[in-house]
Amino acid sequence: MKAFENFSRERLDALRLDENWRFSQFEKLLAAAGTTAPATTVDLSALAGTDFEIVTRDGSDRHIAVPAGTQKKMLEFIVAGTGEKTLTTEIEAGENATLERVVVQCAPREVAVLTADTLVAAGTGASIKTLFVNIGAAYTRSALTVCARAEHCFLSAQIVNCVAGTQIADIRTRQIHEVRRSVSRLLCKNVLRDSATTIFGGNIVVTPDGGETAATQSCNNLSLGDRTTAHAMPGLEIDANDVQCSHGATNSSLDFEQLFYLLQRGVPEAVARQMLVQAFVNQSLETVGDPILAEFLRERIF
Amino acid sequence: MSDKNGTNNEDKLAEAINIDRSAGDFVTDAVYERDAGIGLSERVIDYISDSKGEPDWIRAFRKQALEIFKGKAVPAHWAPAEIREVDFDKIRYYLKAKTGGNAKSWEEVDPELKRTFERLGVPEQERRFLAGVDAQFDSESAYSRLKSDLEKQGVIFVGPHEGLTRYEEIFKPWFGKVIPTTDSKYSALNSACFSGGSFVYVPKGVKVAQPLQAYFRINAESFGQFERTLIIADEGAELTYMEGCTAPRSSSITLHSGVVELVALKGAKIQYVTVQNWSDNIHNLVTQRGWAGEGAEIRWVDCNLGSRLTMKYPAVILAGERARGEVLSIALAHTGQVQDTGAKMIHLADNTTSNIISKSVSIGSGRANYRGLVSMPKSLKGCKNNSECHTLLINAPSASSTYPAITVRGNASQTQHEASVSKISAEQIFYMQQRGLTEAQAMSLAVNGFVNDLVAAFPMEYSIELKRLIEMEMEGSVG
Repeated sequence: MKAFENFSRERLDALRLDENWRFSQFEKLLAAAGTTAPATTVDLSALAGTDFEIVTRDGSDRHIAVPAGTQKKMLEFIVAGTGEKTLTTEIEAGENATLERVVVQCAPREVAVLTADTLVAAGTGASIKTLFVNIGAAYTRSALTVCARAEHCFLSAQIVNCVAGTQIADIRTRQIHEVRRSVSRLLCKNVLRDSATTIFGGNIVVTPDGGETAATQSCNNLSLGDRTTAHAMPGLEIDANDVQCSHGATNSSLDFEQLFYLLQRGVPEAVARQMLVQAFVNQSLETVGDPILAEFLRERIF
Repeated sequence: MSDKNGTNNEDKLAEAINIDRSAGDFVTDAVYERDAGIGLSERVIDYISDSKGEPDWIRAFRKQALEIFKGKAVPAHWAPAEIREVDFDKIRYYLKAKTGGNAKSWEEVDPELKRTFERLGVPEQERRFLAGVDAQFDSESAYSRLKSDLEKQGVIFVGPHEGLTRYEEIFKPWFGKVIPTTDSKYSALNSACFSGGSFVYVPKGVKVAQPLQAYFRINAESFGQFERTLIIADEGAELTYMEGCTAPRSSSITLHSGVVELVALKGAKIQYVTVQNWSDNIHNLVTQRGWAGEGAEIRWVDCNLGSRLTMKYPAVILAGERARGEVLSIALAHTGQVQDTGAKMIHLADNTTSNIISKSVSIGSGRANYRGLVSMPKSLKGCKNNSECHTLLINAPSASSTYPAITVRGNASQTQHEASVSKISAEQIFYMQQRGLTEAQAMSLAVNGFVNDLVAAFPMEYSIELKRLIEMEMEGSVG
């Protein structure tokens, strides 16, 4: 399997050839990586009362184990650029462990943020739910791998990118099923404004031992500007036959009929548009069980 | 369903969905009067050019292409590994059988070759439903005829050599323009040593009701067939062109690397149908692309049943407003086969639409891949694309990959893509077995149902042929 996590200046040519990096814009990535800006400050007072453990990421990598039978809820903020270093996270969930993780990337709009996350369901019945919200950075490069290594585990990955100006969000995902009877769901929602660019490269990998896998992968792009660019490369690599795997990708702007309906009912156009964008993103935000956190995210995004 | 019976059952299931390739599996005892020898060099190019008596611009074109071919690497980083099996130094690039010339009636064809095509049913099909036929044997055409009323209307249906010598003023402006020599290593190879294929020109407003048919036969081993087809439909013209391919089975690698260029001018319609049933020693690396002008429509109907490795991604460049492109594709990959197929749609004008539907079946340890590209690189208005690709995996070792790439600029266009990979649902099989079908019959019916809507899109005579080819043997069922 190709290792697409590790970005480095020396590997540029090799990476260019690698399909996983198609449509990447390395020059812009390097330019953003060379830029510094003071970290964003986040007002956490609105989060009082949530039972998520809140962490603001520094430059160090994280290795976390969620022991068997336990439950963990994590909220992480990425508030500064990572330069050319990839911020790495490895999480392993044991038998019947439950992990709910939300990552909010709201770094300054001039910098680059490179992340690589590997989430492994290692014990039977483990459940991992994760939501990434990317609203900051000039160039976001996010490599996400979710891996089912034990039976009956459930993996859910939601990604929301809201980009404007000349921001670029470059998301690469893998859903790896190495054993029988596991489920994964991946949904990437992109809202593009002005001249923003999003790149989605996803892959569902089912090894010969991964029978009875059910995996889905979707990328939906909502384009609100006439100079936006959306690239979608969903993918399937299936080496076992007893599977239900699918992917989908859509691109469109706001539905005129929906907008018309709202305007008919006296909703001002700006509000109506906002409502439709919110509805588009809400599908992902709804997966967050905690109402305080969900409300906080809604306010951060819009 | 198959677990308790183990591998034996699996084999039987693979057998149950079988393709009849026996009709094409025989070798003609042909006498070759021209043979360029093994390997590719400038000398071979000169040999081909001399044999054909070509004008200097074509010789120069070939030599330039040879240099481009040498300068390009085999696409190793993304293509299936089987592509490396081709050894370009062990292939014969030009073989002209004693054909009796490019005959206009079957009586003039060399009796041995005539028997070959009779066995494949070509003259009979011609009588029944075709407007014109070109039958190519290895490098050169053995027979070529167009109905006389079409000739009177100005329709041209000849080989590329005749096209470039007799109709240079129509041929040259478009030749190598839709697919430039530099496009890939294989388009460069074809440009260097092309021989045979078709040049079709349909004048303004002429609608050719019956299909034109090209029949490609590879007889020799370790051979490379490089047919070159250029089809131009002038404003408002319409035609359907079909190609069929067969070869005898052998153990040595044989290469088929065609280039097909379609040009549909304003309001024209071209439908290009392929039924590829090569034997499983053939590497089928074909470049097919169409250019559609204002309001024009290009439709590729593609069925890949044979070959060791097929890499083929028919493309449409939607250059004029309201142009439409479509690719319908069926692929069956048996054990030992890789079908790496797909489609490309390049939208370059407002209100262009495209549709891609691909269905593939992997049987045994076969692999059926989909690779697609949909590109709307400019801020266009009103462009729409729909792409669907579905794969059925029959046996445990069957495999499939799907790699679409979709790029959309701006907010005034729409695309949607969906893909799925699954096996035949156990409920369906159970339902049919409950009603008295054997497991193999049920499997056959399910596979038939899966591809049926696409089979129906083929011209009538071909869909009957296809159903026969994808023959569902009712034997070999499990008790």
